[in-house]
Amino acid sequence: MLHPHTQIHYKNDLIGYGVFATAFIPRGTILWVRDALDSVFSQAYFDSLPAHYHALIDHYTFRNTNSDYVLCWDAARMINHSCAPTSAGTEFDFEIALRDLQIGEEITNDYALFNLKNYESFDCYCTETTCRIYISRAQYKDSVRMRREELKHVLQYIDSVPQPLSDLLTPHQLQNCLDILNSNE
Amino acid sequence: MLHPDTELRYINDNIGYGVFAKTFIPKGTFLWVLDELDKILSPDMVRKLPELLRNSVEKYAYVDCQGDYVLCWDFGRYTNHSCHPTMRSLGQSVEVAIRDVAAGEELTCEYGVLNLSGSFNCACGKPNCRQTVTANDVNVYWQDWDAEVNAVLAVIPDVPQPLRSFIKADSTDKTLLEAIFNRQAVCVPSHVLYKTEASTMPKEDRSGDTLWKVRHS
Repeated sequence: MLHPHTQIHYKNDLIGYGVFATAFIPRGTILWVRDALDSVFSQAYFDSLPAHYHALIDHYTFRNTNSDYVLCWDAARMINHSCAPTSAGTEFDFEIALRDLQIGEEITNDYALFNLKNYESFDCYCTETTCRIYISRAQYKDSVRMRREELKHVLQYIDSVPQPLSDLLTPHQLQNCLDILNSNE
Repeated sequence: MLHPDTELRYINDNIGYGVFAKTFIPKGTFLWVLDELDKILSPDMVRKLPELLRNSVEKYAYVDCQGDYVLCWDFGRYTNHSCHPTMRSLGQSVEVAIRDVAAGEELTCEYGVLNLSGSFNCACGKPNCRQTVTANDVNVYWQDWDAEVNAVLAVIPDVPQPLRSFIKADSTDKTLLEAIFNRQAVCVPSHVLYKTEASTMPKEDRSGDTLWKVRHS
């Protein structure tokens, strides 16, 4: 579930919708937690569906570390890619704001972390100075390293900012994330 | 799943979002179908959810005739109620346009068939607005509502149906829909689709076979 102080806006015909902050959200805030209403599909289930479902699922899901498809029930599935994302941690089933978000600022992820299929590589239009222009699974390792460094840094603020989603995050989930970040896996 | 030629728009702070047609859509078109990605939750599952999620389910899901919660995975869950709606239920898995929809027009449905647990005040502003919408309305108006569906059955096979192939494979309406596309369906007494508490229909009339009648020519 997405942080309650977020809203979707239609950006343009190229990008479609995006998710934006409706209030100031400080760094270290839990922006998303995977919850019981999100659907997780195996590759076998994906293959069992009629072919016209495949493009739809590829479009709206991300693939987790098990290569399962995660379809977020809420606007989280509208989060766009940025090469300088404002949110990270999806592989731990929750996301943290990597920096302060002002009203109207977009919530973005680094899609290179999402186990992209070869045909899911895409041209990026994020216009960030760090824009990688073309996003593909080849960037996975570099993206993991960069995003985890940022994540590790902002996790120190997790207890000092308001956390409306704290009920959805289990202590085990957080500990597991910290263990992995600290072990530099 | 909503018809592909639709979009979400923010209406105002009171109503929130609504679903609008991007192009002209002729009557008889399926505007929404229950698909493989829609989430179906038993009342027990909903009870066990953390409060944050339970509130979301109560707000965005509807209750089907088995008493299960259906959370549309797409913008379908932003479809607003109107007492003079654009679409009506055709069985459990389809909402059909009962009139032509102009580009830019809002797509609306009838919440009175969604097994409401309480009532709500309606401000749709239509001449026939019921002001208060309750689960009992179906017992009063079902014949009018069914008549509007029955009036478009004949054109369903003639208009483009981009959603037809997305209907959930185990839909209880498969035979009904086949009959409609074979131009065999006579009428769809949809009032029997509503949950026991909401309907005066005897329980034994609620099995799949009696949900609709087909004339075998």
